[in-house]
Amino acid sequence: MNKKVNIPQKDAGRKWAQRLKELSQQRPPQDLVDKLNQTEDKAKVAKPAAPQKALEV
Amino acid sequence: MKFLRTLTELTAFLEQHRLELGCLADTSFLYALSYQDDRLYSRANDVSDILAETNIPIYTNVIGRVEFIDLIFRKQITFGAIELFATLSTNSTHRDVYNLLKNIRDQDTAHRRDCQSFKISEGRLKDLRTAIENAVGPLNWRQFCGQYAGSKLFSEWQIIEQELGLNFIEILEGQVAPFFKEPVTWSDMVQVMSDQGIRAPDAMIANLFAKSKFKLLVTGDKDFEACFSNSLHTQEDQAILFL
Repeated sequence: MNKKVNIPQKDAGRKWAQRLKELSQQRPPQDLVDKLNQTEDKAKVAKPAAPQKALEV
Repeated sequence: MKFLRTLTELTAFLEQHRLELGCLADTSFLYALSYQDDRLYSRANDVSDILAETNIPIYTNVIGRVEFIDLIFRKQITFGAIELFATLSTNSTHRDVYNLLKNIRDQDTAHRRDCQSFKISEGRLKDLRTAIENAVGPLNWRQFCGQYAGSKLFSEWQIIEQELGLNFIEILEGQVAPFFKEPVTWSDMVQVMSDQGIRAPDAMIANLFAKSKFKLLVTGDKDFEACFSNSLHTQEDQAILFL
């Protein structure tokens, strides 16, 4: 069976390059940015508080 | 064997020879078509337009197909890493990720100064994946890859190949028809590799061209000149276009 032969289309490379450029200029996922920007202080705040001994019976 | 170095020489060659089968290309040409920061971008696209005007399909081997998509993936992740670094605070607790991303951004800047298109190596890609997974988990790494090189890009891959006019030759050991005048063998490829001191994917293309009925090879890799000047036998009506 003969396969269809692909023939280059004019300007196809430039359109493809533009598509890749647009894809590369997106902002990274916000969830990832937020997690990576967590500072030590925020990390401490985010941790659950240690149980207070005074409350122990 | 002729070496062509200008578009005028290419046009003259195409007027003198009928390229019924199409032309052969390596990944340096395909990559140059794809990224505006590649020094050969304009030339590669001008060549692609000439091939489009003259209805000449572009062929490479399946190794070239794998190499091409791998280069695109690593380049997209490089862009993503640079974008991610731009959003990071210098106070981030994830110093491994911060330092890796900064290093990638700095290398990209240095390459741009030399008009070269930078993409992370396979080793650096693994380092980045490990660092991000360790810092924030594998789900975020997968989201990151999906954003810059995921289904949005690769689901369209076959359409992109059609538009670029790409075709792929799957070679069986000793195969002749329809593209080859002599059988293509693994041992000949290994011989080219060891004689010329070039990587296996390049040796495959060189061996394939030498044994093929293709009259034109398009490449940005100057190593092929030495390769064909030294020992590989070709026909007089074959030519290599250097971008």
